[in-house]
Amino acid sequence: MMKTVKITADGQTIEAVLESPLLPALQDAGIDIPTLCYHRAVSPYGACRLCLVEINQKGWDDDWWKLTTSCNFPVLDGLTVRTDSEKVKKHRKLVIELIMARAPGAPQVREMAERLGVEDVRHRPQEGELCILCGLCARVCDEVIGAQVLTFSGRGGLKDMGTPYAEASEKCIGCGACEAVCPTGAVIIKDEGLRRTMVRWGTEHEFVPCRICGKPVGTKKQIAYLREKINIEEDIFVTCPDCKRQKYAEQVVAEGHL
Amino acid sequence: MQVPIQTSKDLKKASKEAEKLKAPLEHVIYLCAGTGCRASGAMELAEAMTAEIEGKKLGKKVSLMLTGCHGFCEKGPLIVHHPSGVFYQHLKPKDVAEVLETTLEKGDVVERLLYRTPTTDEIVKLEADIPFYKHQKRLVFDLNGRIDPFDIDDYLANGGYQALAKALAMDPEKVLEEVDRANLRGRGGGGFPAGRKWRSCRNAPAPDGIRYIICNADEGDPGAFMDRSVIEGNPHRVIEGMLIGAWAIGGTDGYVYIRHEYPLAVETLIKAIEDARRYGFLGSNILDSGLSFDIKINRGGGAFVCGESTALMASIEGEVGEPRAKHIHTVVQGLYNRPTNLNNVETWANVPLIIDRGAKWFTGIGTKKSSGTKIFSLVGKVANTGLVEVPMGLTLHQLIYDIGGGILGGKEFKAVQTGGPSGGAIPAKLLDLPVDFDSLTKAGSMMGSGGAIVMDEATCMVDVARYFTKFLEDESCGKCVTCREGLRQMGWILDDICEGKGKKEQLEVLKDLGEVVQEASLCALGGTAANPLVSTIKFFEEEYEEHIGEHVCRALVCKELIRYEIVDDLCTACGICRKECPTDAIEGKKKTLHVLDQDKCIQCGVCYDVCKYGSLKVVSGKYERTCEQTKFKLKPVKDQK
Repeated sequence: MMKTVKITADGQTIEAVLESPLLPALQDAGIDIPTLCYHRAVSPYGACRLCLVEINQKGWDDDWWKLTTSCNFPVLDGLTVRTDSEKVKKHRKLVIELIMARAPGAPQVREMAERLGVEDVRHRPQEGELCILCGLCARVCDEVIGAQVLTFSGRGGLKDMGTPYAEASEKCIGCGACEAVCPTGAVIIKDEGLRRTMVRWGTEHEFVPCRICGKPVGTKKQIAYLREKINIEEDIFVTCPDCKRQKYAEQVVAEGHL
Repeated sequence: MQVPIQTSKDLKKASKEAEKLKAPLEHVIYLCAGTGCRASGAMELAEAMTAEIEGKKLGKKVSLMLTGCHGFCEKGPLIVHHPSGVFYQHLKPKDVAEVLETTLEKGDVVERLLYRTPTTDEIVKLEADIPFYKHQKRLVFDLNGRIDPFDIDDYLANGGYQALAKALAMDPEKVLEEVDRANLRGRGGGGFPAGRKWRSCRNAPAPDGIRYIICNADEGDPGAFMDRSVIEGNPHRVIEGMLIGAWAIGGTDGYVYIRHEYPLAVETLIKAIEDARRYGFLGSNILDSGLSFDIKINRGGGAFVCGESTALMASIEGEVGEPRAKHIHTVVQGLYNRPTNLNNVETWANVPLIIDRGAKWFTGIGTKKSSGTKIFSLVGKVANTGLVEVPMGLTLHQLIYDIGGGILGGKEFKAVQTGGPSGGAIPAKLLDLPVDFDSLTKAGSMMGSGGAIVMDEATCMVDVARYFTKFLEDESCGKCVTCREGLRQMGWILDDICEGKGKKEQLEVLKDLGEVVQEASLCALGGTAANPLVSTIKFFEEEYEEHIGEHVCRALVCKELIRYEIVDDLCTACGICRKECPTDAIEGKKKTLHVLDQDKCIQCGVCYDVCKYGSLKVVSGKYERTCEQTKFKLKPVKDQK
């Protein structure tokens, strides 16, 4: 049984599940917390440092505040949070400035910078870079899809995200979840006819065409992977959503439900 | 020796037996066979020594003991003679016969091989009188250099595992209280009270009964090697400490996470663990106490960040060595999500001493808040470099001048970087600062693992900040933006400043970067990574300003800001600089003043280093330094006919 506790954020009392991540609890209460590396579908990682808040735990001196990221900080009973203090705002600005220098070409990063009130970036930009190394693609590939294709390599300034040894991975099923969660458009996928190219990871995939209209439904590997996991009739996997809907509608009419 | 030793009564018997077995002969030669001395030829010396002892049939009178590190590595290979205590340095195999004959047979000394005080050239005969050793208080290091680390009997003969027997006869709670009362603080960096950590771990629920005890031997600070030396010199002390910890905490499984780049330490430790198992100190029902505990060795791949406890644990689990947030402490959920107590080598090595001699004795050493001793790796521009163990609270001045023998070459002291790369530079005005956890942190540096890099006037503080920042940038795991990108941007700005391309506004950017890296990073590596920058700006801002505003490097280090010049008055046209210059920037011939072409010069400084007539100088703005005149054979060109 999940236990709910009360916390205070910017003077507002919030009920949240004990030891669940603080960030979604704050967001659910309508508090705006910027983040690029957090996604509810996967475990928090703490890479982008934008969701900084100040906290004061039960038992601490009233004037003792600690700066921490809220994505990987747990909801604790009696926790007090400041999300809008000068210190929080200042450090979020300094952080987004660094992210801007890392990925100057990413519109999402520029938008975030604007939102946080940063106009000028004083740092040396890394032209052409889009990836901010938040690791969301690898987390979703591992935790949600279960394919475990992506991983970090190197450390420090040489850190990179990709497939092991930067070789095309046989385990990639071409599902595109990595692209869906990427906050900066750094994961690029090209679909042409029945071909899918995962540009960043160097894999090529063949789409299975919809058995009715011929439009791509999913990649061959993806469908095989799904069928292995869920044992239901093949039809479901080889019909595109549009045709599925149409087919169902026809069925409903034919059976005289309307 | 009857092994395994099954009860503490058996241990007493075994120790007596070991004492007899290991009773010293009339003469003992303690030969340092630590990594440093091996690199300078200790094993060749040992071979020659063995051959000489055998050849002269001295085997009944003299024994040669290969010990672990004595700490005075720069003097190696070195030996100490027992019982006289005479210390010989820089020995070569060809010296062996003379040394043995003079010292053992004649009772005299070979003067040329004795220690000389670098500043006064005074000869010191006995190890105990050498200032480097005289002002130390060697507790953790007491047996380093006096026992054979590969021989468990040697440890037993010197009271080894007695503290374990004593602890096992006590209630675990009482053992914990003793460590708590001793106010033992973690020697690995943070200075967190070990007693409190142990208690939290003991109180943490362990559903499957497993609690881990880890020894952090991932010593990654450049220039620091105290943990390596403790393991190389006295590995059983560390194992004994971990065993006592396991008893107090309820630990079941031990790990030593040690650098793969420490082959000798690993070899020593493997042998020690095997021996401890054979003797019954590791395994089940140790000394009939009910304690079952064993230790595994895990070799690190060389990442500095794996010294951080959560990254270390991830690495043991086979994951990438990245730290995680410690909102849930590792004592509650550490390795494999089980309660885990991690301390560093030196901390564990202190534990048997505390149990053996009591908390009261321990708190009598050092300061009120920092009890006991600390081993420092004293390196840089001091006369005596090496490992020194001193009581906490000793001032930096005593450390650098009394033990270190002052600054080399009569230069001025400028700063000391304590705490390794993530420590901070402490200036001359703070030399009377006592060396303890809190004073160093207050000064913007830290104790860290005990590195102490001494810098003189010829060290550029901006360049120092750049060096450490780049080291940390390379060693950052790269997980969080502030540490990875912040340090990278910092490094670029520091490059600019060192190259004379810095702008005034960049100083403000640096300060902002320093703040955000310190405040908003995920782990302690990031949290302290800005220390070199922040502390050098705090204490040496004028050097930054000179670099930026005047394009001047007062330490005459930054290549883009210095130039070399020939001092015409002193040039003898000896031609050495011309010959050695890699870019042919110096022109001249016999009896003709040499001329340096600034356009061709790459500021490598070779000319400055090879000139023996004091006729080369390095200049930056109003600052200059002229090379020393050590040769007088030739007259200056102006006086030559």
